[in-house]
Amino acid sequence: MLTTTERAARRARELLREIQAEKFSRRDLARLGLIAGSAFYFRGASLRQALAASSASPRTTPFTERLPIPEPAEEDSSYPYNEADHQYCSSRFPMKKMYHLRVRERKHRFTKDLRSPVWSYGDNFGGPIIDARYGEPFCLHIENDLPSADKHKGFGHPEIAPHLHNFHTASESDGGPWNWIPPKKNPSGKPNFRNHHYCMARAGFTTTKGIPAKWVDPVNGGDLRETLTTLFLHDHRPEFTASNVYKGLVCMVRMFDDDDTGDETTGWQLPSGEYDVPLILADKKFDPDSGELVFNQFANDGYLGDKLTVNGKVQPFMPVKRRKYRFRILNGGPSRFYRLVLRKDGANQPFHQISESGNLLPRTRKNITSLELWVAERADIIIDFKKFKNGDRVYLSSNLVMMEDGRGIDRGKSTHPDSTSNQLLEFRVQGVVEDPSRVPNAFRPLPSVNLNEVVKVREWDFGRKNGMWHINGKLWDPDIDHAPEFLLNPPDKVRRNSAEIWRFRSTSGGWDHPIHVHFEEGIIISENGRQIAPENRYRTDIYRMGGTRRIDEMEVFMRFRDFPDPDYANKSSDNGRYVIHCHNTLHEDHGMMATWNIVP
Amino acid sequence: MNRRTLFTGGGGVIAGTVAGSALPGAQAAAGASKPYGIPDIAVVDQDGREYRFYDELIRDRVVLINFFFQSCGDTCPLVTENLRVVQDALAERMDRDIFMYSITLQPHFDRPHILKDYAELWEVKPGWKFLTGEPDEIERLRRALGFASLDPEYDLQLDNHTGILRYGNDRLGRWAATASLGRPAWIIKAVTSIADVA
Ligand SMILES: [Cu+2]
Repeated sequence: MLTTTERAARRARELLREIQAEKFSRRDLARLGLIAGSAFYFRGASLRQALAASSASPRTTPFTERLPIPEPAEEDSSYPYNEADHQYCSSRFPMKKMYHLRVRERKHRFTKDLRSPVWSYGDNFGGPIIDARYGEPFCLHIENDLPSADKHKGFGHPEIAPHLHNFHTASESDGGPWNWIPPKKNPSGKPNFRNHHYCMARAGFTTTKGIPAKWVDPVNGGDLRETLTTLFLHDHRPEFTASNVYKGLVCMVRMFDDDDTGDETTGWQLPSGEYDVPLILADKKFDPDSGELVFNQFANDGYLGDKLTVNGKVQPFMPVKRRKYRFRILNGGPSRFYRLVLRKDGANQPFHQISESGNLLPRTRKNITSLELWVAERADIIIDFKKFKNGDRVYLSSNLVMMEDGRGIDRGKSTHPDSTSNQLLEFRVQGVVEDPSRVPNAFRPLPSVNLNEVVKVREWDFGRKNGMWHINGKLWDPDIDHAPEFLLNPPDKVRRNSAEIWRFRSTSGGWDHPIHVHFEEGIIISENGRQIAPENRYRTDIYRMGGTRRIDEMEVFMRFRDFPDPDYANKSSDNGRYVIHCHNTLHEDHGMMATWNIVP
Repeated sequence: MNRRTLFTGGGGVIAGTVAGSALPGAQAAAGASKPYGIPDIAVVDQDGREYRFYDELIRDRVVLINFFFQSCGDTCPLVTENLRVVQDALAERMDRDIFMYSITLQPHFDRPHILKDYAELWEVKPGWKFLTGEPDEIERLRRALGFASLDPEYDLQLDNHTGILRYGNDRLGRWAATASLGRPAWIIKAVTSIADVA
């Protein structure tokens, strides 16, 4: 027996086939009683245009702008700050430094003739770079100096919720999609700033269970194998995340320690200083007349720009020396995925990958030639330009084709990586300098996956519902979990210092979802029912549902440690609240997010 | 139970019966698109009054927009009931600076008199309009407002467009969406967060 839904879908397929086969004339269709919906199959192109929104960006000339490198964030600890507001702050991890981020509107030049108002953390589009070090707890003082909500015109909402993706952070500092910070002039007179505190200690700092002595951080406790490396800060205002991040609310964060030191003469000797370069990839669209950024505020499934930018410039160039560089590449979204290749003279050039999803890999992936990067993923790669000659031009390109509405990868299609529209960045090789840096073969092993620790298998279903996107059948409501009855008995309770298997299922038929879980890195142990061999595992905060490998089911091993702080629990019942959501920010803004809580 | 309705309509209904129906201004409807590509088409409300969709219903207003159809058995009645709670809570702002539009997905069937019965059934007050129009034009509107999917199979099922509640402030050029079956308290907070101070 077919369900009614299956019958309806079958009827729809038949209808489509008939229409596509043009078995019927228009008049026939009318006689058959087909109504409105049929009309656009005769005008498919116009539907695609309507959904892809508006016309193309103005023409641009690639490789005319030099790649900007973000400046270090401003250190300034003169802002009001209360240790008691933060978990584990006064007791264990008092703040050692404070960064000040002023969020403001400014004009930015993406390339010649394309200037647009943008929003940024600090003075530059794409923000400053925030450098942190394990053992040095820090604080972000975030100040919202955007125009007031009833003065700002156009896409983006000047209420902000900055989230550090994906640090081991107390819920009050996580910057989740709640309690956003209003701009200075707001009707309720709320403060326009907030402090976030980051312990800068590895997961496991309150328990040694399951951590071999050799991997316990001797100073702060915590599992050295849980070190986080390349992160980013981005806005999380519910229903406006896509537009706010697209408008510029993103910035890179690097975390160093005694091995990944930030000095290429010590520790692992990874390329450092001016040879450690963040690359924020983001596709944009510009108004053909004004040259300003445009965004389709009526898109539900995805949004693609037709101009590729890196660090806020359309297809920039970067002069490089003949030596090794570390590039920390971030897919800044909103919807586009990339398959990155390094190209010269029509051939792929090998490079090394040392991190996946911001976490150093157990072993370096040496001499790879392509790298898939979904929204919000980070990958650190090392390119050695020594093998190239002075004057060579080398290109970072993408050869992945997205479906026109940005809902996922167009699996059947390929594109030439050397076509100009696929080129992201041009490296201009010139000059030699000393290169003391090295590429280690191995970093730290993965934390052990111990199924005996697992206390629960938790199911998360992702799918479509009446044109919106759901998790476990529910659409996101940013307010419901403020309610005392919710906090007393949240539906998804995770025990502090326990482990779980999270089973992800995508039931949305061909749509791709980069699923993101706040707070904790997971290790994927099976995909579509097949176990992942230990040597192929990695830590990640993005789980690729769908994609070219059509992953509909995934099992992830997760540990939930340290938070909430037991001393803080008496002060607030709202102390362990986190979210899981799709990081195609269009899906996220249209319901695909759910709350889960860590409870003592 | 979970009956899905396709754009194929109720079966056997001849599309020609609505050709040349009671829409005087329809021929001139294909006017230029307004900001964000909203087509300024002619629409008719439950009282048979005709409007330019953008110029007369959207311009400078704060609005909530959903798509529905009268014969929809699953989602739409729940949505309409939900929006009625929103309407009642926004009482003094409705028809003053906040407006709600429920647009039919079946303009062939949902003629003004049917919308009138529907609106009366739900005790709709001023400021909330149920809108229909020429099918081709309503179809344009549906796509332009993002109540459509590029997945053709998904797009054909009417119920796949009933879960979205778009809200926007035209004066500010700011738009977003939330769940049409979301809690009224959140819907009200969402829309008033982009509205001018009351
Ligand atoms: Cu998604």
